[in-house]
Amino acid sequence: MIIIVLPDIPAEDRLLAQARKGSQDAMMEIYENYFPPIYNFIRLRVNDPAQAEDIASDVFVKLVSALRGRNAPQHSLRGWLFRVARNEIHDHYGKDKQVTVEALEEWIPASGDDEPEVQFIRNMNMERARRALGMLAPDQQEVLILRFGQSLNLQETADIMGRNINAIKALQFRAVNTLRQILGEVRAETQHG
Amino acid sequence: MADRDLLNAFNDCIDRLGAGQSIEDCLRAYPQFAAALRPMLEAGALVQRMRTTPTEIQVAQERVRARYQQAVRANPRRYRPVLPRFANLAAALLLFFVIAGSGGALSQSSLPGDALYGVKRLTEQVGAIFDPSPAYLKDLEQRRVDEVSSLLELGRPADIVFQGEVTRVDGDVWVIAMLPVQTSADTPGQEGLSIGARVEVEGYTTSTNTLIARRITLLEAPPLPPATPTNTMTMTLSPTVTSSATATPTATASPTLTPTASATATNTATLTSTASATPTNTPTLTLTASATPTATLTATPSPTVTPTSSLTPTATATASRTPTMTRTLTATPSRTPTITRTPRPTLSPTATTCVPTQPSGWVRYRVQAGDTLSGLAANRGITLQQAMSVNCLTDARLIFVGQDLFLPPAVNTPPPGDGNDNSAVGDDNGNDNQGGSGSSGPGDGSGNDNNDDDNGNDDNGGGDDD
Repeated sequence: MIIIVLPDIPAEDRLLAQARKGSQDAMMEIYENYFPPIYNFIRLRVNDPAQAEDIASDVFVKLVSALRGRNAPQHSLRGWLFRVARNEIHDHYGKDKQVTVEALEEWIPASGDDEPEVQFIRNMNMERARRALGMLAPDQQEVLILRFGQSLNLQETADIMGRNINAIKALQFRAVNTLRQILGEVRAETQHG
Repeated sequence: MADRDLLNAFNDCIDRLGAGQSIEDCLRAYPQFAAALRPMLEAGALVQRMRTTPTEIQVAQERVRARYQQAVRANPRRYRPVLPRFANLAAALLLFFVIAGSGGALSQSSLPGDALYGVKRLTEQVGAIFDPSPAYLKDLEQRRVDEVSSLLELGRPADIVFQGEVTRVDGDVWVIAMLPVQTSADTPGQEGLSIGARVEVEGYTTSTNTLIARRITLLEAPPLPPATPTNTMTMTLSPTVTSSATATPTATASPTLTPTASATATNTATLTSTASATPTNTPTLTLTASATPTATLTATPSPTVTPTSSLTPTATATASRTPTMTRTLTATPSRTPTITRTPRPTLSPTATTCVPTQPSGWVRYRVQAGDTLSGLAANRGITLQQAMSVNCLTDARLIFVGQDLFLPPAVNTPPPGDGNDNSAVGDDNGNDNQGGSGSSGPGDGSGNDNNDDDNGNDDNGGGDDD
């Protein structure tokens, strides 16, 4: 399963062009390739699988109608999808609403080939990290998920978030430092409690 | 500026991590910032590894696929051109005269999505200006329905809008203007709609001969039923009081009826009775009747038995005209005022009373694109009538893709053979399913299609419960 779509611009553009001409195969291929990363992005921001599924579904149905209309994505399909996903999340939760983090046990690290002990520790860390991430301001969460989680480049991230690249550079710097700070607090809490 | 350099170094390191390099690789590239960068990159790397479980993603992807596929398959070739509405009225009028005079017929058979369809609609719009009669508008409405019907037969995808009456609700398939409309639990506008309602359907046809609704808008609530609760009270003396009640149901959960009944007694006594009934489990009927010589009657009948005979609260007061009025009114009405009206259903398809049952030796068949009932019946050696009656169908044209029918096994397919063969078939299916979920690609085998269908059915169930 592909969870990160590494930028393969020519292939993506080719797929997009075919889809815009009405190729159903291309549209299905887009779905197979892009659903997992988009869902994961949404799920990191929305703490409810059913809600995340609804939002992801809306994103892809919107893509179909956009491909037929005049406002079809011209390039960077990936960026378009993340931007629509982000807008949908904002529509559901409001721009500033923090997404509460509860069901931590659902989260597992990506790598599954370690010793059980290592995995356990990693799970603990992942829970802390997930909780810490949820405490960040929404735009800080977004920038970290897009840049680290999805490996989107600076320009793409700037386009998705509607800011310039210098703003993104500063935002990701602030965000990661806030995350570190919260991680320290969470760690202290778990040690004392 | 050191700050700017650190920002840039951090940014570059994110790109390097994204490209597969390690944190150490990056720190080696920026030794002067290593101390500051390391904790930041470690924190960032945690985010990089955050994933929800692959199973959850896969489940979500499977579930959403059906909806996406539906949207993709409904892909119309091109949007209709935007029509000039008011701006180019002069041009529109000119066009109308030209077209009406000569080649308007050219466009008349065009369908949504055709080049001439815009001309057709424009002609009609202008036509409506000259002839805004209900008959003409009705005719236009029927044309929309006929167009959709043609699109469905041709299996041509297009965006459509039409109006009509809901005549049947069968799960999430609504029959509107005699066309099967596929809805889903989240199709907007279905709340409060019911059989008999006039609605506008906005949706699209697909290449698989399916009509899918995007939105259903209520235009007109279902007409009130004619005064069904006809209370017939027979009094033993002479006056046979026949009161007919008009019901004014309210659309709440437990509808209350407030029938107003007027009764005429042959003996010049005119009774006006007001009845109110609550058709829950035990409907109580309260009748207040006034005779010309002021007589007020109050009856509280139980639902099944005859109403209690105490029809004489104040009737004794002044029965000036009829000396035997008291006797008359104490007489028990011979017939129970039965109120047969069922509460207006909110969404439940109460109209479908016929339940298809599987005759022995018949099999369940799921309708494919291109199937016709007559074709299926012929293929399986039964008459169209048989196929319709077993499956509770009232219109031979009304079958839709995905619908389950009971039919005898197909005549021209080879018989399944003995039991061993059957078990082999079962094994094949099992393997297909496993292959589909285990392989990297989400697969296109029949197993997955079945999963989609199952999910669809589950969703329907949920929708009904709501």
